Amino acid sequence: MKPASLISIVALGIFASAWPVLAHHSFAAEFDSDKPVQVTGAVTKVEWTNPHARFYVDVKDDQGNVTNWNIELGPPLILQRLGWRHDSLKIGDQVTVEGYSARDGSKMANAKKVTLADGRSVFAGSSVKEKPAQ
Amino acid sequence: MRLLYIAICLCWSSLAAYGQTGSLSGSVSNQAHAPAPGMTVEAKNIQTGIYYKAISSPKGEYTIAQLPAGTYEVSVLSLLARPFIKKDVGVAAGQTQHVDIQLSVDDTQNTLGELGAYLAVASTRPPPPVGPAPKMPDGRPDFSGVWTTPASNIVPLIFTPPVELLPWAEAIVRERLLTGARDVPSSRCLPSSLVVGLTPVEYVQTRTVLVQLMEDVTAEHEVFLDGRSHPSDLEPTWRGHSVGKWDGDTLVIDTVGFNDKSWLFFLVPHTEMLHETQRVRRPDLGHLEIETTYQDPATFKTPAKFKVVSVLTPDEEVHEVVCENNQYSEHVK
Repeated sequence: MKPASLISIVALGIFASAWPVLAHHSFAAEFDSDKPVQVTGAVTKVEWTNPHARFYVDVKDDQGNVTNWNIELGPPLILQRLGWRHDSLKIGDQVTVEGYSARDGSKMANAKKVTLADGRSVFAGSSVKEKPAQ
Repeated sequence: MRLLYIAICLCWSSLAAYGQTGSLSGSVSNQAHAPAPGMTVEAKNIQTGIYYKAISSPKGEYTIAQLPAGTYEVSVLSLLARPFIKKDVGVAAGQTQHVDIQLSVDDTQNTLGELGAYLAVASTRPPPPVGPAPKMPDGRPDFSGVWTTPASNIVPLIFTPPVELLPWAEAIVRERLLTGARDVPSSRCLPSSLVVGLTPVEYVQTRTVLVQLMEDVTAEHEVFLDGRSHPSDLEPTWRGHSVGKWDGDTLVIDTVGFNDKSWLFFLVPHTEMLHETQRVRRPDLGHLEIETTYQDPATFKTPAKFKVVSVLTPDEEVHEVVCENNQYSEHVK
């Protein structure tokens, strides 16, 4: 392998969305990019814990059966630096979550997009007004 | 006469070898179809199991020359893209086989609140404060402060670790890349890589000790400045035992007593023989230069050396990191 000085920073930017294990574990190992999922329901619980924040959503199917989904986010120490807090989502909030299902088929997903009923997005980019959202 | 005979033989064998070799070349591009420089392209000879490699150029081009004719498996393995593997690539004597490599990124990595989003915002930080480097009452430099390393400095080390590995270690790195590094110690709530600094690290310095506070499971590390030596009966630990001595305005931190569980650069194995030397200096108020050398003759062909320059980020705080919920890692397949 060659010294890092050879690496173009431009190339890093192109890969900027992919940080598999720099934090805690590889999302690719836990979630399957061939299994996109979208669920809508009411938030039942928010866990503001390291290394991953998560929240739970009651999802009702066509027959009225309710399944509780476990939605994984990044770590609070980063979400907080982006201006998000544990109460950015409140119990009972109606949300639509787009993400990817767990490889083992359990009712888990990682969140790629979380949208409130009024159309606002949460946990995406920065909520800090003076900093441009990315 | 005898020398002439040897020379003729050497010439003939070189020509014969040349005649039996071919080459492999092509381009490496990222998911946006733009050139991907700095990527390690490997070709494994299926008959011999020997690996040959090249690094893609700034234009994303690569050439692996002098390949013995045969069948190869061409691969690019990186933490930042899905593994690329092309099997049954034939290389004929005197010919150049062309293989273009298109990389793709796993979209599951775009999880909300992961490092990508943070780094994008962190890159908009204002420049660090300006001024002379502060001094301790005894005239030594004072490194105290909250330090953050720009992603543009530290990420290339993870992108392509600056190491020359022995074959056993190379094999482990390949295996870790193929499995998406899913067994990295931090996935089991164990300490992160020894390379830290993407999130803030606080240095608190007294006359006799330098304390490093980190956002990691091992939240603190002590560097003793009181002249003591390493204990002779060290038990291996995750961050080892550190002593610091001044060389002018540079603090030379010597660390031994590591266990063999860390993944250097989030990827690279090492043994308990690992010996870390860091030369740390603060050229001005806002910058901290850290030159690190890893020596581990059981792992590296030559010592691994790299430098990071951290910037003072007074508005940052080191957050508590208690690893509470990686029990979900049982879902990792």
